[in-house]
Amino acid sequence: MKRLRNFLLCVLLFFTFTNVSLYANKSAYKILLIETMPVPVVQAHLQAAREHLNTLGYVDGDNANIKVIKAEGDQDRAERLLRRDLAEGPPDVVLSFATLATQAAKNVYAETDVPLIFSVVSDPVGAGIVPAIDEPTGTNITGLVYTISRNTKIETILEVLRPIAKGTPFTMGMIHSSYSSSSGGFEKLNEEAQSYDSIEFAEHIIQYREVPEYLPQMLDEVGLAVPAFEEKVDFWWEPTGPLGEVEEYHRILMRGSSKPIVMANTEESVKDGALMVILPDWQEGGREAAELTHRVLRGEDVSSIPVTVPAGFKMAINIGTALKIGAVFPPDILELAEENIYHESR
Amino acid sequence: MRVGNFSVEGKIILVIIPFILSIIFALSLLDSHAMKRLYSSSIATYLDHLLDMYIDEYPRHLQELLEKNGLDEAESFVESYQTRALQRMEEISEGEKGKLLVYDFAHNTFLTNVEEAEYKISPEDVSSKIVGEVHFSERRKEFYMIKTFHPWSWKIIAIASGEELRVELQRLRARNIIFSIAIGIVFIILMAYAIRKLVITPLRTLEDTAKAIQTGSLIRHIEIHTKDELGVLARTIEKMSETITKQKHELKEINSSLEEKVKDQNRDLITTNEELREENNKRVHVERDLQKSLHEKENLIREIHHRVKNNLAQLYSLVDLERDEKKNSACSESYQKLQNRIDAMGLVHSQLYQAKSIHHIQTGQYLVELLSLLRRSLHTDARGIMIEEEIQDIVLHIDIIQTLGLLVTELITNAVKHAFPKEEGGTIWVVLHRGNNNELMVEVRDNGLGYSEKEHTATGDGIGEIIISAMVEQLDGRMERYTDNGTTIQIRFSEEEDL
Repeated sequence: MKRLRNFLLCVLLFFTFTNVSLYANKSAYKILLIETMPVPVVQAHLQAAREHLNTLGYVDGDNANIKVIKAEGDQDRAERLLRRDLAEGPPDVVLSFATLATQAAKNVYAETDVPLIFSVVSDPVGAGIVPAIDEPTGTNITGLVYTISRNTKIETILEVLRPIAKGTPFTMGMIHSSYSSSSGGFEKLNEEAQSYDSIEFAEHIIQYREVPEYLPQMLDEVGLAVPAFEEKVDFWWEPTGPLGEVEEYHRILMRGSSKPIVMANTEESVKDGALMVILPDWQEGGREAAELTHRVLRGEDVSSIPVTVPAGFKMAINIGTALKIGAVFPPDILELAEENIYHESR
Repeated sequence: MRVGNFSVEGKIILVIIPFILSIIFALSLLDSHAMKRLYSSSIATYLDHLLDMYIDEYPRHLQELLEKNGLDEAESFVESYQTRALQRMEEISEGEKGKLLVYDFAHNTFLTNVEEAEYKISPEDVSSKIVGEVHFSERRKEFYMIKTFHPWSWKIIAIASGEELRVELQRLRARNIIFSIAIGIVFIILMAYAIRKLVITPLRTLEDTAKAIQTGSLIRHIEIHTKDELGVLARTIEKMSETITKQKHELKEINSSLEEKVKDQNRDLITTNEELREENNKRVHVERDLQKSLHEKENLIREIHHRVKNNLAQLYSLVDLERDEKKNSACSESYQKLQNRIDAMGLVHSQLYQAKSIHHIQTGQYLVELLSLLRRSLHTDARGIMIEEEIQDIVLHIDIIQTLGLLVTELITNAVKHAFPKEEGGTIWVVLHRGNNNELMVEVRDNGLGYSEKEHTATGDGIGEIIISAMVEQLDGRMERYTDNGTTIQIRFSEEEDL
């Protein structure tokens, strides 16, 4: 036992000093973080990533220079800020949050060998960022897809709505912007729904404008679209992208329509009365992005790291809404939702 | 392969394996017996376990989930969850673990999709049977047990056939046996490892040490640090090795000392041997001189005998000449007797001269030749007198034989002269033999005239009697004379060479 204890102590000391020496060899890592817009999902991911980088030993102001750039929903602004920064010296790694920031970073660092790691991008293939998921890109870009399998979402909602099945397909209405991940997300979802007899999707598209500057205008357009579009749908399905991330969006739907939102995009929406949401775990997603950053900074070739889907996800449900519409959550969903179960419906 | 050739490890394992297998066998037998004994109670346990497992996993779990989320009164949820529970139960019923029925006692109806008639369990049965006890369906030969789940007003019936239970019991028994064997194998491996580690390895170390000691090495330390018998043995061998080495050293010194002593003694022995050899050579030379001298003496004696014989022969011839001159006188007979006596004496010297010994003569040869001479000189054949001899061949000293020869000559001369005076012939027997007491007996017997008749004539010749008496006296013998159809004279004497 004594020998084993000494051996473990030696191993611990070895790795401790190895890490210390690793960081000591580098005067300071320049880590650049860029967020698309100040929406909860993006900000939560960015904060979790920063905290985990700190845990991994990258201390801002000490052995790391961590800089955050805010794109404010404007890709031009994002690219402009990135270029300015690049002129000061290339970063060791760039960590982008959400689609717009990632596209801007891709454009800026396309001709460099600066590694780019993206996060909170729901459709990186549709947005033209990477050619495929679950494969190495062969470029200086890799990252984590912010999505839950679409057929998982469809099958789950059909299971919950089974008690009120009417014999004809449920029509899920989605009002989304022309933001690339929003449009791409709907297309993929509609495509997936073709495989099921009991569900179909209908869309209403609103022109995307910069967030948060032009968000009120987009929400106004949503409010105008709801009454006319409501007649064509049985339930609402919240889009991914900028509109789906803001609380006002689901409130407009709930105020303007008697049809419930059955698949939300945020937990806040469920809390306010949407039936359920399945979404990647924000904290876990941020930590995974930090882990990828760490691997790249330790020398791993970014082009050999495949684009992956985050392992963690969370589910939130609203029992009040379920009771109101006659839906029933199966026992496994009740157990999975655990502490994210809400009872108040609107 | 003989067990005696196995290693100690092999022998121990050979003992342990049957021991473990015996335990496993015994446990299996006990297990089998226990299984039979517990068969009926196992049915209750099995059904009770099946019901508890099902109720805990489904109705109770789902009910708790609903209660936790405030949905236990929500009809849609409760019905949905009950449906799920029933679906799961039907899946179990279709499987191999047994059949499950659910009876809703609030509505007096079965909820599961089963034919009541098939199981012959009516709502009344379900209501009347005691919950938690095993019941038996005679018709279907099946066991069943009922338990109640009150939140949903359910009575759940678990059914199992005897065959299913038997299979389940066999499966459990097989699992127990396999588990026992696995434990046994692990135990054997651990025992083998422990024996190797704790006994065999130290034994081999001791064996190597013993071999090293055998080749003469000094072993100061053996790598066995235990304080058991092997450790004690190791310490003892270490001391033994030191003692052997010390004794070898002492023995070597003693050997060196002994070798020196032996060398000294060898030197003394060689010297003594040389002296003895010289002494022996001297003695050999002396003996050779003595032998030579003896031989010369013997030759001299033989020569003396030869000369005596020749002298006696010359004397005989001289007497013969004298006798021829006085041929018809009365002296002729006396000359003849004298010649016979000279012959007797000369014959002794003649034979001594020719014999190997110069002091002893064979009586047989001497007396036969003497008698032959007497036959010729006394003309016994012409007178019809037979001289028969019964002579035992005895070796006698020259003094005795010469006396004996004169004695016999005188007695035969007397017998020829006095026993047969009328020329009628007769027989004279001469006997010589050694008696039991080593006494010699000479007998001269005739079948002529008796003693009384010849006594007169005998007295006329007194020289013969004198000679006979003198000879008997010289022999230190005794003479007996008696008459019985002739005369018998016996002279007995002892053989004494100092005559």
